[in-house]
Amino acid sequence: MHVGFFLLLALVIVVLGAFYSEVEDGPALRSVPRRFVVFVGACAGVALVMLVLEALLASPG
Amino acid sequence: MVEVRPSERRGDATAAVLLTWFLPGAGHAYLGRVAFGALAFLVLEGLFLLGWWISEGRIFEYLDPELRGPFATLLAPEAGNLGAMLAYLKVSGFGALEATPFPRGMFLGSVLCAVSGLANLLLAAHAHLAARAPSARPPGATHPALLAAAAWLLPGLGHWLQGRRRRALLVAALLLGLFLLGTWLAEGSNLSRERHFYYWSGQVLLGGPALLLEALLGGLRVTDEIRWVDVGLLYGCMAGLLNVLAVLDVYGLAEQRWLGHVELHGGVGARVEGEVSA
Repeated sequence: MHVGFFLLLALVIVVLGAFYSEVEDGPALRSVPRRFVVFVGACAGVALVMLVLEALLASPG
Repeated sequence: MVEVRPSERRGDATAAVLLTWFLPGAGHAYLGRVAFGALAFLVLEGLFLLGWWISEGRIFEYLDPELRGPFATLLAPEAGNLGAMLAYLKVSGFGALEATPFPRGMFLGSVLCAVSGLANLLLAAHAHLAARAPSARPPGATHPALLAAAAWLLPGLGHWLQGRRRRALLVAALLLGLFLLGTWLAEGSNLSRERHFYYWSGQVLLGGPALLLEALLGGLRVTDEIRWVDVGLLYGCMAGLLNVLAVLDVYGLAEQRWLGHVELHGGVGARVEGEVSA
């Protein structure tokens, strides 16, 4: 469920970001899938780094 | 940002913005538009003072005691009218020391002060453009700051007025949908500045829909644990923050059109490239 909430919010962020970057609607909308993959992938990367750091540095014992 | 020839500039744009930030209208007075600056001063400071009076100087009493500090209010929309906010803090501080019921007009007072701050940011954008733009107003053009105000007031309205109808509908559907979904998930508990001071600061950037819904449904009592309250708060706040991107999108194109750098296809503010160069 949380992943679904994140993906929905990510979609809105990506579409608004595409609109901000591109004046014309066509190129903006065509760029959404690529931007979405990059955004989700980058967030997953950050989450992975946080989990690794947590496991290495913050886990009890 | 679109550059214009130095000979067409009226003054330093950064100075005009900073002056406006501290004192509404001061930037325009600096640029020689004294009457406009005086009118803006009266309107925006009047809004702030009215909100101050109605709320009895207790807006920042919404902040939890442990959060009250010299920089705690900088993320509030009132910070857009910095001089007024500093005066408010100097005189009224963080409100009463003892917990007493808020006045009846608390919501209205809070909104008036917040709107004064946000409107002053638009005025600063107006001053920035006034410092850089040629004195001649492009025929048939709507000022970018006005279009930005429309984009704030109702997500998508600025795009619609620019003639970008499909984008307007998409922006409105995405942002209003996100906000309404967030409000549903939070069971309306997000519609309260008292309960969520900083989330509200983001949410108010969604403009009219957020304020209207809060006026209608705000202040609901929370009697049970709300399962998705965190997601709901995040969605409401993000809808407002993402509306800033939409406002900047509207403003950026409107500024290019105002300065004669883009040929348009229609809509308010549309004109043919080069008309302003005289």
